[in-house]
Amino acid sequence: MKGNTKLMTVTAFAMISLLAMPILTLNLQVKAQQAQNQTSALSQVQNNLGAVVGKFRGLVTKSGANITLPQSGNLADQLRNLTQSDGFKKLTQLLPELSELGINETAIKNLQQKGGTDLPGIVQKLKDLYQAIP
Amino acid sequence: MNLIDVSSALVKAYAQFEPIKCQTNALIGYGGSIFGLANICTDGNKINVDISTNYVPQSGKVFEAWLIDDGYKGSGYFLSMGKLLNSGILHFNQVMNNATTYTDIVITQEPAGDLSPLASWSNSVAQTWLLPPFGM
Repeated sequence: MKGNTKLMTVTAFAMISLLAMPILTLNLQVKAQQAQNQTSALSQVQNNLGAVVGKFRGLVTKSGANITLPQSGNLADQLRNLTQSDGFKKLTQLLPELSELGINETAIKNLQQKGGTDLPGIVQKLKDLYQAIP
Repeated sequence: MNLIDVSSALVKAYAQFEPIKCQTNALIGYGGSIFGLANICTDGNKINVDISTNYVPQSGKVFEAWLIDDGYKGSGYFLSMGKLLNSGILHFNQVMNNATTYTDIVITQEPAGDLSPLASWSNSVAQTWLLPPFGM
């Protein structure tokens, strides 16, 4: 009788283990799949963003625009000079090429500015920022 | 041999005390306008980025600024510097292992309170390209 009880306990334990194993394996597979999906989403963003960044650089080079402003002189004037330069005008004509890579044009066109195209305002904001936080 | 050791030590010491270099770049809006300005300073480890813009995001959206390690030649890694405040400014300050690995700054428009930490690349609105010492 004692031997039978032992045998039944072992059998029951073995059956529970056998039933639980596929559930555990399935759970691990689901988790592995989720991790793989997250990795592929990340690499997809890296690839797409990398393509856009690379294209932008190509367009800047092609246009000849110098988007780094000189450190000396009045920053607002430097910015105004940039917007009036031939390089910048050419860049403006080339930038729509970015939409070929899937850039959402509507998101850009619907953007609005506070205070219009106030270049000195942007400069002052930047100056205020690095004076306030050294 | 001794001389080589000494010069190598000096190079290492110099590398640890690189002077701070700054650059001010125009953030070019993908629509073809000046989106704003970015002032970036680094000594190789410390990096300080100040951004200003007059643009306002669409309702329910925020602007988020990213440092990018060039996707083609670099790792393609993108680091969020956070969202621009409602006043159109962002201040980012960090000590990195190597700040000069980054090559570009991109501004994206993201849903406010976005659950995804990834960059919404198709909603990129502006970019600037960093000059050396960045991209080294």
